[in-house]
Amino acid sequence: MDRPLLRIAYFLIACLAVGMVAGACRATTLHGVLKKSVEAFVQMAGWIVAIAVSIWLLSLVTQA
Amino acid sequence: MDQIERPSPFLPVFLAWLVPGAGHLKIGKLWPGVFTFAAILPLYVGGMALAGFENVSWERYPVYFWAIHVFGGALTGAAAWLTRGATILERMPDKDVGVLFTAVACLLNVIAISDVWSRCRRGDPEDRAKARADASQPPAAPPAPSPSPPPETREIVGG
Repeated sequence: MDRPLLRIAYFLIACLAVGMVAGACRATTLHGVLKKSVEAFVQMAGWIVAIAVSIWLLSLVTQA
Repeated sequence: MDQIERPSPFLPVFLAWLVPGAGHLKIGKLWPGVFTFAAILPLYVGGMALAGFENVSWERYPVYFWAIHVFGGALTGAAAWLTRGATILERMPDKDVGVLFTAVACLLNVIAISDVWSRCRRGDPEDRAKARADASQPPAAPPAPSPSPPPETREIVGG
């Protein structure tokens, strides 16, 4: 697999694991755990992507 | 005053440390236990695979082992014992990712252990959220009085 794709896959795997544990710690039923896991996964991945994009944009600005 | 009897957290916490998810199963929380196990075990083993099965060892990586990997419980014990004679033949291309994955898996088990403790001490998160919501609502207003019949009206005729 291409290196950038591999890195994205690693990132998503880690986010998935953290989201699953976060969901397991916030609910009890299967439906609740699934819902909270998806919420935590989306929130965490979204925040990290937002921060990474912000850093990338800042680096572009400082280089210009 | 809290009158609900809670289970003692010590055995569930010990089981949660020993095997990820076992603490939740001990206190009867099936799905949290299943999710914890399904999240931590593949991350741990996958991290070891990426690192060449030599990153969990108190001899090669004592700081990682005693600071982080100890929270993996039996996983760490088995990994360290099974790979005690591993030799580093070549550096794996994604070794750093593997080391990170294994460390994250152990730290996720810390979160799971603390959740088991919290559930034993304070109950399930849904119940706590419901209690908080009930406490934040204003007390119910007293029942409204039944509508009284309209006052009798008398027609004043004449003067």
